[in-house]
Amino acid sequence: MTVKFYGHPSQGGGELIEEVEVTPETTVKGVVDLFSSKHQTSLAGSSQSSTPRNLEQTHVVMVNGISVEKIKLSTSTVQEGDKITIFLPISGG
Amino acid sequence: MKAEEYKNIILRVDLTRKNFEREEIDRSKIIKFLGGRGLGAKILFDELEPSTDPLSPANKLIFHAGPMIGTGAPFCPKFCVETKSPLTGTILMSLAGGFFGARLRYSGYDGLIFEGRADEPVYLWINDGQVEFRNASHLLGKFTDACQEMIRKELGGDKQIQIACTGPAGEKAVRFASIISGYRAVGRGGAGVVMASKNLKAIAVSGTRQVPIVQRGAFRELQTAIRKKARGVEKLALFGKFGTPRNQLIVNERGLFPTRNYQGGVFEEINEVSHIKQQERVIRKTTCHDCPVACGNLTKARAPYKDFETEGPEYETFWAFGAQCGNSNIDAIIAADRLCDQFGMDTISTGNSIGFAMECAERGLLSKADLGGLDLKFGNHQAMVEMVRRIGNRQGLGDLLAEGTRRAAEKIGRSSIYFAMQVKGMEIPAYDPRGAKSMALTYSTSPRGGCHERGLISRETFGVPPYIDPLSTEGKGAVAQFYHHRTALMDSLGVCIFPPNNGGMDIKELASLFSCVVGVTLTEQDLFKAAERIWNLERLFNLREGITGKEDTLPPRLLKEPMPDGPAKGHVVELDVLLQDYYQVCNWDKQGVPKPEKLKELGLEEEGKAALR
Repeated sequence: MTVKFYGHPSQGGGELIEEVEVTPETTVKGVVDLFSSKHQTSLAGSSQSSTPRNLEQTHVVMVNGISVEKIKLSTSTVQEGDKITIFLPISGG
Repeated sequence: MKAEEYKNIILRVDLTRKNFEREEIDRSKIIKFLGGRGLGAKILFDELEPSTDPLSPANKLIFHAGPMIGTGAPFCPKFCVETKSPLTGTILMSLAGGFFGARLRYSGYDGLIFEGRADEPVYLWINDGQVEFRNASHLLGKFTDACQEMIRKELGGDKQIQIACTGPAGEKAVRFASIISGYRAVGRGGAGVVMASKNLKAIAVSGTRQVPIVQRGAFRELQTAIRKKARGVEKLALFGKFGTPRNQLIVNERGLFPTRNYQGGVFEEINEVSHIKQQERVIRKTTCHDCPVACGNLTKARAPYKDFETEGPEYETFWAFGAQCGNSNIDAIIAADRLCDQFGMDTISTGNSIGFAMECAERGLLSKADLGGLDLKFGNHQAMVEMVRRIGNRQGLGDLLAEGTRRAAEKIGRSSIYFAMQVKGMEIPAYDPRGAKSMALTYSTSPRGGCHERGLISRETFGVPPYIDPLSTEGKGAVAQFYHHRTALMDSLGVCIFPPNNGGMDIKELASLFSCVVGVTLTEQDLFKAAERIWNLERLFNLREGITGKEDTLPPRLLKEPMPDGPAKGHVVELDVLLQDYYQVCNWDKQGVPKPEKLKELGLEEEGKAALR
């Protein structure tokens, strides 16, 4: 099955980056890890950061527009067609 | 070499008699109340008679630039204006960045206290310690940009001169009139109308005084290290690039972006008014004094609003003239923002009031005659921009909205108060607390009424780590209190909250910098204790005015009407539960009154006696 990974528009993009093939048992963390290993720079929030790292420690992961609590990243599985986004949250408003 | 002495100098100006005197604030008072917001609260509490009419000569208007401003410390441009609000009747503290605060300190004064009322329009010119009253009759009716330009020109044209002025909205007593300096606004609560009521059109400052730093060498080392560290912070780089408007998309996605006067939490046309669209219109970056982040964007509108350019709009203004009015024309938002600055009006209250009127019109609570020929419906950007002008000129329906939504609803009658999205008379901003429960505590307990700036809870609104469930009420009293105190200490020292909240400087570093400035070692805990003292003193001020815990409430829509869409769908605010938790955390009683032991701990017994007798 596939899930859809979007660049978060707050980073300056917002379009569909890739459809990712996963098994039904794949967790949200598993998808993020898979994806972030390939798209580190675009997810990090600035072009200065190209070093691979654990993005879920600093970023918010959303599935279908709803934030996933850090603790649930490893336990929640994804569903066919889920829309996953990830962004660097910043205070300011 | 002899160590520098710490001095904090205030200029007390009697506008009625046109005289002034210089006063020195004791260092112990600065350590206790920090400066800016905190010191302003102390002066106002001590000097203002309870029940003073905010627009009478007896009200005081206090400008104070906190002790970090102009020192060379990064992220410290925010001066504070303190008075009693004509919009809410509460204590009012309103801050602005830009360059005025630093230049005020370089002029020879850390703060200004205005009393009385001049018998003719005047402006005050302070240059390297010298003070002069000048006639301002020729400046009446001028937009704030023209007013600043005229004053600068007649003072010789030096670009270092900084000016803070009121606009036509202040002169016409719009209750949320602001004070403008450059493009920056002392926006909320009506400080501009208090200034205008004193016949004080403007203040111009210039000078080259060195501001006091007792341990200058250690201070320089520390601030250099903080600047160096900040250069590598990814969040600051991203914040500097896009500024506050970036968060529109995130807040909308999280379902707490108030839409069409809080009828929903998701604006379906958000992409038309996002920061990405703004970036297509940015002319250049802008900054405040001594800030390496430079989050500002000078933005130029396109047709049919191509004559307007503005610094910003910021997140709140994008919302006020965007989702709040159901408007997806970004150029109209830029125009409305600029017009507000030119008239000298708060953008949040202006946009919120127009959204309120749009809903009243659509529900038949305002007649065609009331609308004065305008088709005032959600999404009509031409009507929205015209309404900004009418509020600034107090024309037709604008005259009513210039009173703020609470007073306007009282006059409109019927069920209109239900649609007035305000707390204590201040229009609430761009986060729907049905989807962010601790923001309900910020809105309901903020000492100046419904605002986000006294405690913007980034963990809920933007998802800043560590994670909390925005829809839960559990433990939210402590979360809110932490942000309330953290903001109070930064406001008082003159620090912009955003760089520290994004990893630019932590409170421990700030405590070290402040220690160097005053020459006394203070810890992070000392700053938080001072902040708690300030928050409680502001509470006491309002209690003395008869504004009790009963007014710690929210518009009924947020308490009764479930959120219709987005991740917070089905939620209302469980305010009673949240408030009782918060009061307990604050050591206040069930009516929201600080307990005697708390006041003793904070050294506020005398203030407590005065407020609670």
